[in-house]
Order: sequence, then structure tokens, then C-alpha cells
Amino acid sequence: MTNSTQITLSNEQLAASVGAEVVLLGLNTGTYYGLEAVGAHIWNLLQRTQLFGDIVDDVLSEFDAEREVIIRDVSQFIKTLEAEGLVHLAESQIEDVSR
Amino acid sequence: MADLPGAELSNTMPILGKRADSMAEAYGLKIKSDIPLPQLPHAHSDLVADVTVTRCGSPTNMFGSETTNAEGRYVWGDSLALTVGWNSIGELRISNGKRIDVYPLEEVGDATLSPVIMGVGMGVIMAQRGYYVLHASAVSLESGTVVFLGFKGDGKSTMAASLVSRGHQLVTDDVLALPPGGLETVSPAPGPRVMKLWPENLSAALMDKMSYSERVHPEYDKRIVWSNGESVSPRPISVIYVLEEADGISVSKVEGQAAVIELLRHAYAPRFFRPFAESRRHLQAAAKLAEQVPIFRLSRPSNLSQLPEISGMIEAHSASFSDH
Repeated sequence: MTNSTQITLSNEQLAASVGAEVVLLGLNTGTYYGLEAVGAHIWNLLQRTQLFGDIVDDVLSEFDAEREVIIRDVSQFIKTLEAEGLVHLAESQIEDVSR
Repeated sequence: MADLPGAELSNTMPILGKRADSMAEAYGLKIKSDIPLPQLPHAHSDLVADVTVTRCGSPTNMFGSETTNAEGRYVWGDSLALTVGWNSIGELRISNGKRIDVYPLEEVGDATLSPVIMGVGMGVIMAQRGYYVLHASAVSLESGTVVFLGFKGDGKSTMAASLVSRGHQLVTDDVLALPPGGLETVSPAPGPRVMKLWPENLSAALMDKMSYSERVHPEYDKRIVWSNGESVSPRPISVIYVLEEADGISVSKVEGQAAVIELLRHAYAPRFFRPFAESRRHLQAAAKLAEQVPIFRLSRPSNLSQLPEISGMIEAHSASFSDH
């Protein structure tokens, strides 16, 4: 995953917020997922932000951890969402030169 | 029947609502039925029916054994026109929140059909009408309505029966219908005050408050038990308990996404037809309910001898969530 990896929400999911947490339903699998704290924060970010790099920057500003740790954990989380059919990944055609 | 503690078979079914083609009442709805629903209070026959129950011909089982589950149950159709069938009973065709057409097997009597109509039939009807329907029992305590969530065999009915034997009133057993959201408090639609219990759970104390009838099904030992008292409007829900079996007795708070998932797991209609769960409205209703009502996990042994202790604990614990 790179800074310019694009993450889009799948049409095959439903989501509802409960307080600061999120519940997802994967429509293909019929499975419910509960997201707490950082996971819920990333999911809510994905409503308005699609680039992996932007998500990492936001999480870095909100949570206290090393950049490398955040990159690793956010990447793993998003790959899990993709594996469950909740998001789609694609490489952006626009070169990101800001970093 | 003589082995059941302190109870005699009631030969007097409740008079009200026992006639075929009479008007009965449950969940706030007027139900006109070809098949007697003897456990329901009678409604005036001049009223317009909200739901009609019609006896029809033989079941068709259009999809045969390929779609039948281990319990001999099969489902086909869509959320607003759903057929639920059982190899040992027949079929219900439930449509638009208004109609239940019953296609019984020839050998199946009305005493077997009525709990199925009041259970699965009305559970799906209420879901079709936009209610959030839980597979739950509920009892009215001083604090308000206390709800027990659990899967088959988890002890929802036994827990409710224990509280009824202590003088509280049954709100519902099996189907809990919650009206569409937007209210500050959540009051369930009044369910039929009838339960299905194994004989070993029919205590003498319970039988002071209720009567019991023949078996739910000739091949099934559970009994139908109904309350003799008058119906009252259910009070707002004060607390929800998710039942689980454990070695000791404990109560632990369930919050946030975990609470929502428990409500979703115990939703009634998706058990029969998954598409009932696949709507944003359903998901948001569960999220809203989790925010409005405290939810706890109630862990306890299955040992019946500890029921009085557990019931006393629930009375005390739920009192702190009083709706007034």
C-alpha cells in the first residue's frame, strides 16, 4: 500500500454509528463487524477521504504513536476491510508529490 | 400430566378469543382468524381487522428438501411476501404485515397451529410493519419492562416464568415487537401473555398465576402456559439482559458496538429470512435502541435451583434503571 492508494467504500455494506463506535454489515457475507476507537475513526474518515496517505496523516495527528506503527496498523486494518468485501483498493493515477 | 408439580390439566381454555373467526388482540393489533387463538384477549368483532388469518388448503413445499434446514423448516419468497414451512406442520404465507394464510398438514390440529401463528406468523407480520422485533421474553417489573435475549435453549422463558411466579406480569414470550424509533423511551407492543415451557420448569408457584394446556406439538413435550390476569399496557423497557450460561452468577455491562451486535444477533425475522436484516433502517434501529436502553450480559448456571436467587438479583439490579 502506498500514499496514493485509493480506498473506496463497497456498495455491499451497511454501517451505523453508536457513540464513537461503528457497526458494519457485510451484505455478501451476512457478517456483522464492530469497530472501536481507531477502527471507527478510520471508517468515518473513509466517508470523506480516499487516499491512504491522507488517512495516515489524520490518524497520526489524532493518536499518539510512531508513524511507522500507524502505517503498519492502518494498512493491516484496511487490508482486512478489503478481504471482507467492505472496501475496494486501487492505485491512484495522480502522482502524490506532497510527501 | 399427573407428574407436573402442583398443577392439574386445565380443561377450561380462556373463554375470550376461543371461537374461530373471532376478533382477537395482540401487539396492539386486531386479528381476525379462522383458526382459534385461545390465548389472546377478545376484541370487539365490529372493529376492522389489522391482520387476517385464513385457513387454506394443503401446503405446496415448492422447493422441497433442498432448502429445508435441520429442524425441517424451509423459507421462500421476499420480505413482504414470505412463506415459512415446516415438514411436520405445514406452511404460513405472511404478506404485507396484514395477512397470514395457513396451509396446514391434514393431521395437524389447531392447538399446534395457534402458537406457530402467534410466534413466527406475528413475528414476521410485525417486522413487515416496520417494528424492530427481537427474539426475547419480557416481564413487567417495578422498574419497567425487563427483557431477556437468548437463543433457543438459553432459558428466556424459564427466566420470565421465574419472575412471573414471584408476582410480576408477563409482557411477552418469544416475540418482542418494538415500534419504529423516534421516542425517548421504548415501550414494546403488548404480546400474547402465553409461554412455552418444558414440564420441569412449571413450578407450583408459577401455576398459581397461570394455566397450562396440552403440548405445543404432539411430538414435542413443551407445554403452552398462559396468564390468567388482565392485560395492561407494557411499561417502557428499563433494561435488556443477554443470557449466557456460566459457572457463577454475574452481570456485566455491554456497550457500544458490542451492544448493537447483540441486538442484531437476536433480531427475530432474520432468523427465518436474512434479507430482513439487510436494510439500513434495521441496522440504525438497533444502534438507536442500544443508545436508549442499558444492556447487560447475565451469566448464570443452568441449575434451576438457583432461579430464585437470580430472579431476586434481577429485581434489585433492574430497580436502578427505573423508568420513573
